Amino acid sequence: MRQLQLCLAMSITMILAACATLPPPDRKVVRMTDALRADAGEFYANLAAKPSPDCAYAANEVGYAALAAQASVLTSHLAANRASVALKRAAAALAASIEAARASHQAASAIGDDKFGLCLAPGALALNADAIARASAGIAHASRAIAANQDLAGAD
Amino acid sequence: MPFNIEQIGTQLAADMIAALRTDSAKIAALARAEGHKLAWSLAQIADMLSQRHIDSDEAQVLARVQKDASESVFASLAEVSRVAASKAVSRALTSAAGIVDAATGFPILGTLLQVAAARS
Repeated sequence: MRQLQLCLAMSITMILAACATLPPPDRKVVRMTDALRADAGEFYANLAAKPSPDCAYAANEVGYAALAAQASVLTSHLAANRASVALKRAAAALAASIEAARASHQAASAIGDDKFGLCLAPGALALNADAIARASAGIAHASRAIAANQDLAGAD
Repeated sequence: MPFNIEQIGTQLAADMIAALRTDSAKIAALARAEGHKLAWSLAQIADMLSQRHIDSDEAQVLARVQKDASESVFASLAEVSRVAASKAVSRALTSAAGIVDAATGFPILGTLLQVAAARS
């Protein structure tokens, strides 16, 4: 009987110790990536409606800076909250996607003498918007999965 | 379309699954979705290039955006490291480069992959 009590006490201690080492579910990451995806969608939708020269890179540089800043805040948040390595890696790749999208707009506006003038071609707009949405959705999905697993672990 | 999207998408997915060395159904499903997405995106880029909506430099940057997005999708999986994600996407694009670059008439993927290899 005493052995059983000892065994139970040890098991509970081990379970509590394991739970204490688990980081809490971080729904803020989901909110941040959802916001980034929505803002990128709105940014590209507005861009598609702008005529030249309002559509030029120079006139919209601030929009890319805002998206990059959101990605940077996400990266800092993940680092500060000891998020999983997978989320940190995906956030770095998302930041790279935004930077590449910015560079593609800059390249398009640098040409200027084609049929789209200083604007990004409509097809390129759609591709860039989709790429940023895809990358941020991946992070939100992973974060939800991690949170769900931790909720399950907490419920055990 | 400049090439068979279904065929290239299937090939990209198979190469990514092989490179990731996984038997996870979840990762395989994701690779199939990403392979077809990449193939469709590359076809759009090739199409825009052939219609002179973009030039070869812009096409290469647009292809890089897609490559980075695919890497982000794979890297968000706990089971896949960033290096493995990058290698899987690069390996898949390498195998498709011949067909895609021939269709566009420019070494878009070839150059992109050379630059990526030089950076790593």
